Amino acid sequence: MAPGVGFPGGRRRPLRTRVLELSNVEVLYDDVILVLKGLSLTVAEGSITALLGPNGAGKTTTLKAISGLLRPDDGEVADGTISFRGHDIHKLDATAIVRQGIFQVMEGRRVFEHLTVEENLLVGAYARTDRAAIPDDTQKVYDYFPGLETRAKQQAGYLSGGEQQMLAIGRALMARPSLMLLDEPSLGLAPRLVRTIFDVLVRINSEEGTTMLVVEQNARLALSIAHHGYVMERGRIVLDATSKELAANEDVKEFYLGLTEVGHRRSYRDVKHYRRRKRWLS
Amino acid sequence: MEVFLQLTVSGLSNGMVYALAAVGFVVIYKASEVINFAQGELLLFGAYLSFASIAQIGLPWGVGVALTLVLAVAIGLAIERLVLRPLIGEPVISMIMVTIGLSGVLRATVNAIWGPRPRTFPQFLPSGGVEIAGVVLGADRLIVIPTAAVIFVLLGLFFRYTRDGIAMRAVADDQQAALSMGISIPRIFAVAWALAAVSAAVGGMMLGNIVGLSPNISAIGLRVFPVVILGGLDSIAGAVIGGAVIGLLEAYTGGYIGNGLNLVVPFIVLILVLMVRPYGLFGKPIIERV
Repeated sequence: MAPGVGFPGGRRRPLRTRVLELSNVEVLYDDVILVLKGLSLTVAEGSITALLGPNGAGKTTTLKAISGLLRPDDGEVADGTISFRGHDIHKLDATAIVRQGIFQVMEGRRVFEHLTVEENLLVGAYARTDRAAIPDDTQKVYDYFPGLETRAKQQAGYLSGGEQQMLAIGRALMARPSLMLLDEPSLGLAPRLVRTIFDVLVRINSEEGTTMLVVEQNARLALSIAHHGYVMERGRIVLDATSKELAANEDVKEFYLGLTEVGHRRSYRDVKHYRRRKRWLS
Repeated sequence: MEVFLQLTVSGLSNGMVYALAAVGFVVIYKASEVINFAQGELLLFGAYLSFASIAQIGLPWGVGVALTLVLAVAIGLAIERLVLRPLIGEPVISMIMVTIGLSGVLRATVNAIWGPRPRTFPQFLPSGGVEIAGVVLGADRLIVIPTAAVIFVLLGLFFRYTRDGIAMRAVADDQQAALSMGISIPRIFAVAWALAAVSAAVGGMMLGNIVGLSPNISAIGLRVFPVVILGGLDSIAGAVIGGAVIGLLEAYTGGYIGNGLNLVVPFIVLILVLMVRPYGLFGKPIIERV
């Protein structure tokens, strides 16, 4: 095992400012269903952090807990703290959190179908106070995603899936967030488009200095752009390491990247080993 | 020809009043999916407020109209704040039921303040006839049509170009996504109720001018249903066209076939339309990409 991998908190983080810090967060739905069971993670300023894990692990819930979007789903942060740049935000509502500079790109694109591309972008800038800069930023979005400009006057519902995802990210850019939360940006898109979109995410991260927390099913893809990664299972973080270390980790390779050593027979014992280890970690 | 023109003007002007009430209904439905059963009472209240400020207080009619509109905004905001906001997060059906209660409260308030008997409305639109192509038409009714048109154009511009207008359409499309943009949903609901109250108040004042004033005019709230279902619950243009169609149908059947039938025909048309287009003539089709 690579040094330091696998033990949450057991490893020195690089000395960078923590923008976002979740500590021991518990999330309850409908007052009874415990989805996050004491989750802790941090996101460093200017980084891209990947949050990986199987279906139902609580990845989307984690993002919604940060952005304040749990309430419409009857969820709440029941315990623990979420702090953003030193301020506790878990008691704020979604509107206030957007104003703090956190913007979530929701799963499934969620563009406003009957609004034009241009209007979608305008809505993205809704919470901003410096309206004079909106035209410049619209142009900036079109520079990142040239395909959108030609479609500016069309209803967003008629865009292709890839264009809608670009619009969803462009709409987020319009808010000039300092932290962008991305929920499954690759969902349902052709591989070539996914590459384009992830390349732009990297550009946004370096050119705009936007910190990103990315939830992805496609672990290989997420680790290819992320600096740091977390793996979560059943409401807890089970692995925490730089993306290079995660990509080299045997368990991650097998269970998330689908890689097994050629010619090496895997026995059921190995799987059991993993299960055992996981139990021990959680 | 003469009868036809007169019926057309009469039907269109009634239709525009229906449309003014219906537009408010649509705005609320779009923003919050709440079916507002108190739309007719908002119109009634607007009519009585202008009656009070012009006839009872004695303000010049322009000032009285302006005051009525300001009060309508205040009432719309107050209703949203006191009656509907506490119910945000509850099932929509609770909100719908509460609007039924609201309609009773508003009607009772009007009865308590101004009494049940008809009042003489201080007609500020020019009365008398205008001769067009040899046919004498009511001047007040002729004015109602462009006045309503101006309101609809202003509303259209609001939804097309203003920050809150675009945000309201975003909320109508996807409320949770709109929330993630930092849009305050309660604020949007409040704006919707204010708009609904204002357009209803304009309708109430128009109605006071063309048919007079009594607590019974709130019955127009029932006309709103065939209008919006015809036009499509979520379409403002549909509400306007639906209003015109229902108004004209009523006038023509009343004029050519016989009085009494005019109350039934809109509903017959409604059923026919729903058989062909279940979401109304202009209801928002669900966008499907192929």
